[in-house]
Amino acid sequence: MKPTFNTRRFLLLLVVALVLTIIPLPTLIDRLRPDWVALLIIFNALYWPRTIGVGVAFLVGILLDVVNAELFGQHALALVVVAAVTLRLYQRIRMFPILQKMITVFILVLIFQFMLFWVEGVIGTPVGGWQRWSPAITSALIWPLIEWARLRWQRRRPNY
Amino acid sequence: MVNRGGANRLFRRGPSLLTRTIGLMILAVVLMAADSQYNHLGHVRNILQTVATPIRWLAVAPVQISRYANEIVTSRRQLHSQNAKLSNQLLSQAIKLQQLAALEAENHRLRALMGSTPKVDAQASIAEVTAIDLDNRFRQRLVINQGKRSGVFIGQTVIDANGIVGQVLSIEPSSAVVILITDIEHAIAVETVRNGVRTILTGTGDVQQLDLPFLPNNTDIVVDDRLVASGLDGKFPAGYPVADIVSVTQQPGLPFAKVEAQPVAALDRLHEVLLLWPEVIESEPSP
Repeated sequence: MKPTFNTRRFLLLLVVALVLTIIPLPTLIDRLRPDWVALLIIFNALYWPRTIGVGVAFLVGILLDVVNAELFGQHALALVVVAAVTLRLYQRIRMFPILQKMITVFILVLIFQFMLFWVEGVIGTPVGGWQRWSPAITSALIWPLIEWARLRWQRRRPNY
Repeated sequence: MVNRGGANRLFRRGPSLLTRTIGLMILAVVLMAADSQYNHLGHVRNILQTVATPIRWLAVAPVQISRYANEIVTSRRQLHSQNAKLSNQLLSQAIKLQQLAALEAENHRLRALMGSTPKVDAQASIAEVTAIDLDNRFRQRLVINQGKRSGVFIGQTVIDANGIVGQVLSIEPSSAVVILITDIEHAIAVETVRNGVRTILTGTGDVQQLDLPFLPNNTDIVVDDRLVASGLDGKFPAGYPVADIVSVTQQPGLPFAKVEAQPVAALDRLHEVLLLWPEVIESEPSP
């Protein structure tokens, strides 16, 4: 019944997520930009926990570091932690009603941002304030849309 | 009981989630240390950049296309008015330039007379901005389309038509990352044109705002003072405009005043930037 994991689709979504991460936007909207790559990893770890493990999260994180021209391993570390928490709890999270799922996503992205914040603190220049934590809110708000897309996709091809 | 080992063999593959997570976290920390301290990863980075390049290209494609479309549909009348404006500008600048040539010659003569250090002149070349604002929320950086192949070097000064934009942070064969003066990690040595007060100007992460955190309360500095690079940091050539003071607030309880400035370069509207190559002009040896 469940749709199988589709590698090509995952890679396509990964490219889209990376492009959305660095696409230039006006400053105000930019600060509300959801963490697309973190959302992608959470989503895939939640529904295909056997395929998307911490290893994939690590590789995607490295890619995110390169695209962002940031310190190597920074996003990798954050994504590994987020993926690990998701994989540990995926059976429970799947059963949650949508509001509770959104809260979970909020906390997961908060963990993601906190790891980045922590690494930046060690390097020397942490950026705090609302701009740091606002992506967690927008990521949680965008989650129902992702779930909706998944259900729609599932309904269209029920035989996989 | 007997089946348990079999079941484990069936369902468990490799080390547990916790082990893998901790292993990868350690690997990530090692990578960060290697990258920040020893810079061993330049080669790996170059390879991975080839993956990042098409993604960056995709991200800026809509901007590029709209710019191109804009150029195409510019009407004849607009072109006329723009042409007139530009010729006016050219004329006024040509007049200024005449004076500049005379002044420069005089400056050279005086410097030679005084036997002082050679003046550093600069040679410039244009680079196009390919991706604005990498992770704009926290960092002020941009990518340009000139790299090691065109002779770009780390620490190179980047300016636009109005003033200093930033400096080159890292280079790849055909692109480079520029850190803007407004990046929170950036600082530049400046002085005021009016009275030569020297201080340090730091970025805030906001593209319109710069801070001068080390000015005592009694410093003679007022709103609209122009700040230029002092050259004392050994990075930026002296004399290029950097910022204008927008607010000065005395803080009697604290050692320093709160002084804010605004960059003169149009940092949020950059399409092309200029890269400066220092060129030492021979001067007469002192007698």
